[in-house]
Amino acid sequence: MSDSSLAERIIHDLTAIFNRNPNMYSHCEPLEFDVIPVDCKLQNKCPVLVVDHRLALESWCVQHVFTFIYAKIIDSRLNRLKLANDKLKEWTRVILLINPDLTLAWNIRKELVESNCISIAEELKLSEVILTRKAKSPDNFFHRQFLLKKLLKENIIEENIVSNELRVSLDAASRYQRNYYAWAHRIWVLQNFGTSLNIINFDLNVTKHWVESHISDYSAFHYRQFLYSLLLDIISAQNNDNLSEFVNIMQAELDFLNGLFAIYPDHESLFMHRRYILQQMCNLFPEQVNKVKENEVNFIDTSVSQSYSNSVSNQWQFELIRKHTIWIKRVLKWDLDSE
Amino acid sequence: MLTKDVEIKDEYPKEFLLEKHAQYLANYAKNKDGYEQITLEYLRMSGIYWGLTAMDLIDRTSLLGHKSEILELIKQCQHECGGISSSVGHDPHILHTLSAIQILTIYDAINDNVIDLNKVVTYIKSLQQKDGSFFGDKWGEIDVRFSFCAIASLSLLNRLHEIDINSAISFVMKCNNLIDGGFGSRPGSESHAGLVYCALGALSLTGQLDRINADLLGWWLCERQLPSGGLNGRPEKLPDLCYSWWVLASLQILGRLHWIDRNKLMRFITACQDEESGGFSDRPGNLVDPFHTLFGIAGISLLIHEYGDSYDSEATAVQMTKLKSCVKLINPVLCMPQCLIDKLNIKMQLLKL
Repeated sequence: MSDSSLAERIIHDLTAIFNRNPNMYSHCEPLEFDVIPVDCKLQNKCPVLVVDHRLALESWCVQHVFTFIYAKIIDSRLNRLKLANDKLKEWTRVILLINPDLTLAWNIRKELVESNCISIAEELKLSEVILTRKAKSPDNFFHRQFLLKKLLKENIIEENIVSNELRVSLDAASRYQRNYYAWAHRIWVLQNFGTSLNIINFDLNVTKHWVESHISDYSAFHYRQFLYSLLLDIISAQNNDNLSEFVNIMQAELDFLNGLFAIYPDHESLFMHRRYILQQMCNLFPEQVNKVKENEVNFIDTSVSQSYSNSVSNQWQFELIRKHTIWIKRVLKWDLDSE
Repeated sequence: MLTKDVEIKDEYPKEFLLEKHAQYLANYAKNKDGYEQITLEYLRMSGIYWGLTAMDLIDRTSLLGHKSEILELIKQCQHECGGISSSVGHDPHILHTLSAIQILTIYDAINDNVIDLNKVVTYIKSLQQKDGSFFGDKWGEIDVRFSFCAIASLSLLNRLHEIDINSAISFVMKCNNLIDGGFGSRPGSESHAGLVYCALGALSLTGQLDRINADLLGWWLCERQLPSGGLNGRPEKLPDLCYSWWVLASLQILGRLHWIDRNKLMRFITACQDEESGGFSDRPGNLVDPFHTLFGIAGISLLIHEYGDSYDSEATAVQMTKLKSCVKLINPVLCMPQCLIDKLNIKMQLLKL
C-alpha cells in the first residue's frame, strides 16, 4: 500500500469511528485517545484500535498520516483551494489528535465553526478527547474559550456548561501535574460565566479533596486563593463592616493546611499557600496580628525541631522553613528574633 | 529528600563547548526536510530567531550562511493583514511577528524592504483591546506574552507611540499578583517566571518598572533556585534550563542578579550540554534543541558579564574571564546582543539596587 493510500485509509477508519459515536461517549465515559508504541507494521492489519471507549493509533503510522495531512492542509492554504468542508474537518481532526500544537489546524476548525460546519457541542467533545492524550495544551484550552465565548454571545448559557468545564479542567489537571493551562482555564470560566456563592463553595470543596491527593500542585492552591478572592468580594459587598466571617474562613484554611503539614512537612506548595493565608489575615484583620504571630512562631519552632528529628527529608524541610522565616521578616516585617 | 530536583553528576560536562554548539546549530539549520522539522514548522520563525541569536552571541553567524533564504521566507510569511506567520502556509501571529522583526534586526535588514513595516504596525495596533491587552492573533486569545510581543516589536521599529501605552501597561499590572509580586498570563492567573519576564520586559520598555514591588518579586525569583543550582519557573516544578534565562533576565531587569548563586547555576547550565552533539537540553542528559541552546548561552552571558567578579576559586575566575571574551553581552529585555540594542539606541529602564 502506498503512503498516501495508507494515510487515506487510516483517516477513513478514524472518521468512521467518530461518525459512529457522534457523542464521542460510550458506556457513559468520554472517548480517550493515545498513540501506542508499535515499531513496525507486522501484519496487514489496520493500525486504528478501538477497545470500549479507548481509541488508539499504532505509532508506526503516525508519521505517514501527519505528513500526508500536513501537505494537504498547507496546499489548501497556499492555493486558497476551495476544499470540501468535510475533508478539512476529517483531516484537522486526525492531525490534532496526533499533534495538538499545530495552531493552524485549530484555526481551520475555528473557521469551520464560524461557518456552522461544526457544532459547538461536537467541537467541545473533540477538544476533550484530544486533552486525554495531551492535557497540557494552550491551544486546546484557548479553542474551548473561543467556543464558550460563542455560546455566551448567542446567550446559550446552561447550568451544565460551567460544571462541564470544571470537570474537564480538573480531569486535565489530574492527567498532567501543575497544569498551568488547565487551572488558568478554570479561572477564565468563572471570570466569564459569572459566579455564585454556590459555585464557589462547591469548588472550594472539590479542590480541597483534590489537593489532599495532589499535595505538590501549587496551581491548585493558587486556584483556591482565587476562589477566596471571589468569596471576599461577595462577603464585602453583602456586609461592608463585618469581615469576621472571612477571618473564620481563613482560620479554617490554616487549620486544613496544618493538617497537611503534619503529613507532608517538606512541600513548597504548602509553604507558599501558608504565606497567602498569613498575608490575608494580617492585611484584613490587623487587630489579630499578635495572635497570628504567636501561632506562627509555634509552627516554626515545631517544624524546626521536627526537621532535626526526621532524618529522611530534614534538609529540604529545613531549607523551606529558613526561607519561610526570611519571607516573614521581609514581607510581614515581623521581628521573630525577639520572640 | 522530596525536593523536585535533579542530581548533577560529575561526569556531566563542565567546560563551555562553544564550537560544538556552533556546529550543532549550523547542522540544525541545514536540515529542513526531516519529519521532525515538518512537525515543528508551526514555530519555525521563532526557531530561526533562537538559532540565529545563539550564533550571534558566540559570533558564528557566518556558519549559517543562508541569510537571503531567511529574508525571502520572512517576506513570504507576511500576510495581507501585515502579520507574520511561523512558516509559509501558516496563519499570522504576534509571536512570529516579533521573531521576524528580531531576525531582521540581527541581519540589519529592517529597512531593506523585506516586509511592509507600516502594515506590521497596523497589524499590531489592530490586536490591542479596549482594556489595553493584546490578542495573539485575530482569534482573540489574551495573554501578557502578547503584550510583551507588541511592545517589543514596536520598540525595535521605533514606533512604540502608535499604541495606547497607558492602557497596555494598566493591563500588564492587572496580571500582577500581590502575594508574591509575580505575574501570570492573565488577571488572576498564577505567577510564572516566563510571564514575569514578559511583564517586566513590557514595563522596562515603557519606563514603568517603578510600579512593582521589586524586592518581593526578586525574592520569589531567587527562590526558584534549587539545590542542584538549576531554576524552575513555579513552585515544585523541576529545574529547566530555559528558566536560566527567564529568571535571570528578570532579576537583571530588577537589578538583583546577584541574589542568585552564580557558581551553582553555572554548574547546572554547563551540565545541560551534550558533549557529543553539542547544544543544550532542558535538564542534564536530555535531548538538546535550539530553544534551550539559546537560553543556555543567554544565561551564561548574563552570569559572566553582569554578575560582578566574585568567584569561588581561581579556576572559575580563569574560566569566566575566558568566556567573557567569546560570548557577547546579551540585553536582558529583548534577548538580543546588547551591541545591536546600543546601535539602535532603544530606550529601556533597568532598576538598580
